[in-house]
Amino acid sequence: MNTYAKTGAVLALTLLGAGCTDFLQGPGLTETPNNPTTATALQQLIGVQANMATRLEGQLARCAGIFTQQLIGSNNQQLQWCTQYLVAEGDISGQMSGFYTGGGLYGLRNIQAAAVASGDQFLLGIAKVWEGLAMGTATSVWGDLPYSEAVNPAISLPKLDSQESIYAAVQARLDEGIAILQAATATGNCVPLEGDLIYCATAVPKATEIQRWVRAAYTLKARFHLHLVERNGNAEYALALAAAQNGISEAPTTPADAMHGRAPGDFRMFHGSVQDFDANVWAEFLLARQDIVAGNTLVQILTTRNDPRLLAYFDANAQGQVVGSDQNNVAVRPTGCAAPCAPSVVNTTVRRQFTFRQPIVTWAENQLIMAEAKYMTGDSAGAVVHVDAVRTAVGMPALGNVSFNDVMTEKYIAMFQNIDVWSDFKRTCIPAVTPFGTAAEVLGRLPYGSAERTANPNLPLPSAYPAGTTGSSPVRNWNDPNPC
Amino acid sequence: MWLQVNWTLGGDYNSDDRTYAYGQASSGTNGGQLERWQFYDRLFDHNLTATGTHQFNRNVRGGLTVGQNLNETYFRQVDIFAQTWLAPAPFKLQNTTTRTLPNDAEQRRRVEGYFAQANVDLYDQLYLQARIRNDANSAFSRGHQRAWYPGGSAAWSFAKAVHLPENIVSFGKVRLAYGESGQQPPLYTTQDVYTAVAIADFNPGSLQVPTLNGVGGLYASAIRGNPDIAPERVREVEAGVDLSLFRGRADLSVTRYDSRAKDVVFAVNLAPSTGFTQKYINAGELTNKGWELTGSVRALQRSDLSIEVGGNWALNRNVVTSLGATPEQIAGDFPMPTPENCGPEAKVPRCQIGIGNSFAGQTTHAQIGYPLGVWRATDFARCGISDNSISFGGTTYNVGAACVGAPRGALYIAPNGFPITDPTPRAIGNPWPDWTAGLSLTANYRGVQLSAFLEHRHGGDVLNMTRASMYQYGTHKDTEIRGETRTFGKDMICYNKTCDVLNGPVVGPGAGTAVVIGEGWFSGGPLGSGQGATGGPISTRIEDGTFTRLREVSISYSFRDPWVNKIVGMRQLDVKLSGRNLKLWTDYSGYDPEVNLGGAQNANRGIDWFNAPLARAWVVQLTFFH
Repeated sequence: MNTYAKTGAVLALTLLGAGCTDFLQGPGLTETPNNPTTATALQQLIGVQANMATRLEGQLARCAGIFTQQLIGSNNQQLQWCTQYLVAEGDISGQMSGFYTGGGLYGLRNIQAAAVASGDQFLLGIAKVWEGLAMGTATSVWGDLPYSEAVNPAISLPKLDSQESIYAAVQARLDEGIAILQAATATGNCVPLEGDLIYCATAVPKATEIQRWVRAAYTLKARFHLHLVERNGNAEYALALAAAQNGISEAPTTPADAMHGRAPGDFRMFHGSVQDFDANVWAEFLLARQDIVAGNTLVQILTTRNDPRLLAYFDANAQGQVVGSDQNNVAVRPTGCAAPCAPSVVNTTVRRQFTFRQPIVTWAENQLIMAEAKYMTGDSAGAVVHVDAVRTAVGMPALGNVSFNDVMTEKYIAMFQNIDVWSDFKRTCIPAVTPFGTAAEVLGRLPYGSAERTANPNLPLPSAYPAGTTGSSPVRNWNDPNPC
Repeated sequence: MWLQVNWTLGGDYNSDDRTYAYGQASSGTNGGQLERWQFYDRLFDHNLTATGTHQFNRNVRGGLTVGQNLNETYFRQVDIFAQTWLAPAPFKLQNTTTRTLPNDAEQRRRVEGYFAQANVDLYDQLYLQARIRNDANSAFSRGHQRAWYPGGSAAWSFAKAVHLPENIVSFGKVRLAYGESGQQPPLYTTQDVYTAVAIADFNPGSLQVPTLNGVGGLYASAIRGNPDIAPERVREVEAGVDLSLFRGRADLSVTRYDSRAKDVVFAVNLAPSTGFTQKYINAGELTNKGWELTGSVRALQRSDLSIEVGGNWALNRNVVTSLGATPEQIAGDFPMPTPENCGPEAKVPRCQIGIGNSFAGQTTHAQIGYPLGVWRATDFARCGISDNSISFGGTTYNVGAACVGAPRGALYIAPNGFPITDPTPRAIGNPWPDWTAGLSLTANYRGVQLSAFLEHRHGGDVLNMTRASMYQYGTHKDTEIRGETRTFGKDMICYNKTCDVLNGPVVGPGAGTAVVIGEGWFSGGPLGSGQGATGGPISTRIEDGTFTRLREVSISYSFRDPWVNKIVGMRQLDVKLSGRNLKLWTDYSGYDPEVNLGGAQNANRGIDWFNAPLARAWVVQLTFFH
């Protein structure tokens, strides 16, 4: 009996003892030991800028360039999705989600809330401008989108706002940003460690930093006014012109700076030198994959007018020629091109350097917005001045007078690798391109991402689009009612 | 001994240290790269049980077991990637120019369980058992960490009580069991967190890490935390009969089970426009119902020759019945996710969630009304399945008009003679078999033992990505038809059940048109838009993987003769010769329908993508006994 008593005691004590101490509580058990659960506004601002680089320089820009045949997707996904117009909702889902999640609208709203709480007017102002840029770009690609009900914790199925209302809200965001920035304190120098990588990667006077943000915001207002021209006519041109006159005004100082969007007031994404870390996104993609080549349309335009940007945008072959591919991914070989005469790739010495800061909004764009707006509102003499300013900046001769085709061709060249070249094409149908294969028209929008569509019934099935939205056709958004 | 106490304490520790180095001249990375990985794994387990038994009287015997289980697992991973060697050697971190953000992650989990089980044996006939567990897991949210799981079973050996003819039924047992159990949840799902993981534009290819210009950044993780994550519960009822027939010459065992899982923890999709893409919730409901049969017959039992034949058959039906519902659906603003409202398209929220992805043109899902692991993919525009108006490659086609009066599933052919892709993904294809069976034979003739095993799997789709990839690169023998003409619906290249689609009924303005088949179809181009390639509709490569396989045949003999001792100094020598995977009968067009791209895992089954087929093997085995 003694052994039984002892055993029973051991048992009882062990069971009791173990049950008393809280075995299930402790560090790293229920709460995660691996990730922080709070983040400052500065940290999230860096996160937003890293994310916006992937959005603005990534797949959307690649497809926009390929649709307008500045470039051609020659292999794999770039060939199927962009050259052949076969991009499906599963292919583009991550890109669309990226505008809303932690590095997108959700992060921007957190930053704005923190800035309001801490009274940081500068941070609030630039976050408003970022929001305008992001949502304006998103709506130009996808059309109707969740916005007014987005990133609201009380709403799990946000409804779609019409593209028209999103553009209006974007103008409001940019106006708010401008007003807040113009009222912000402007003394001393800006501090790079405060996280504004666009206009304060290195220290400049605070007043200069603020002024550059304000001017970039005005150019963005002008850009987004142009997106409404097909619907609203010349009234929109007048608004675009008024905004552009307050836009980016610092001219580039050298022809190379002019060709690569390096004027002091140009809005350029920050990049460092490490692959898959902080390098230019085009450079990373084209190093890892050789799926994009020069587009014959742009190559012919630049070759015919002897434009120095031909060799700034593309690498020449051994004979000093640049070879582009046509809309069907067939190389158009110039005479005297020695076999195999492969199509040219994007310029490696400047544009594909890891440190190349990708231009998103530039002085050249602002000049050409004013040129287009003046031309279409009857001031073609005024238009010539701006076209010539851009041309002489890169080392091209000035023109005496211009046709609308001249203006838009100049813009097409200047907006190389920029998502917005697609909006220019949709609005003006310049340059005249032949769609891929037997397709009736160039794609005018990308499909909604599958992640949003399957979780949010407000978005129509891909085969049902444009039902349930304001889209103009299965391949065009509301702001693009006329095919080319 | 009426009381037995057993205490087991165990510990396990292992570590894994890895270095991957790419030299300076490596083509994929500028200047070379170094990866350093360290893994630590530690486990403690404590089991304390006490069992008591008591004979109440001649006919009644009982027992009680109580126990405690404490378990802790700890895992840690530290890894860092460095780029651009300073000198060609050594392969050490200090010899590199830059390092990307290191990863340092821990996983720690504690489980605390208490259980009690009582069993009573009555009259050597009736066996009753009842049990209860209380399990707690630190990964559940506070306040939801513990759960009770009861269970019980009854078995009745009825051959004595019910007077059955002894020469037919010599032993029989009827059994019934009920049990509840739970599953471990994923770790660290209770909070919203921030992360500095690289953001992908195209992965692999172009990434950005949120540390720029020397300033560290974070962004909110897209996985929303759930502070109320709680245990899930599986309730299973199982009934069966075991029989021994014809004086032990045959056995038969039949089992039927019905199991329902509720509050299954799934990562449900959220609309990304809310700022989050996923959240772990207790929402899922699954059912598993099935039958299992095993039997054997001792056909011949003589002293010099015996032959036994055995067989088994199993059928399982798994259905996902719920993935929860959003507040808007519960409030009635949107339709609830029922099988009718969802359809194969998964039209409303919470109809489906993704659980796997393999770049094979399909994704693996849990979808309402389908088995767990169903595939979703895009297909050709087909009558009765696709919508009336389909946009493909920039042109819109009136599929509805062409399909009037056509059989369901008929292929729509565009004016250019090729089918078009319907962009709406649907549930299509399921890698799980309808039923499986096996047959075994064992024969013994004067000490020579022969055994054979035949296996059959019926149903289950296999995705022949090997053929699709080889089409894309033009290396498959089928692509030798390049330049020839074919007509969809008549003589297009097809295999297995792809013929039902490619050479089945066709409708549309281009139906019956002969087209040139070549790179445009197999790879990409205006003639066919590359729809025969790996990115095209899944119908070109989804095949029925039914197979029968002679899994093993072996023959063995034990030598005990004196020569064994004389020659090798041993008492006994066993020699066995086996052949494995000797023959495969299947309609699958690839080498082997039993391969799996994802290896031994559930999320991506049934994908054959340059996998080596199961090897035929001959094994000779010699065993010496001293």
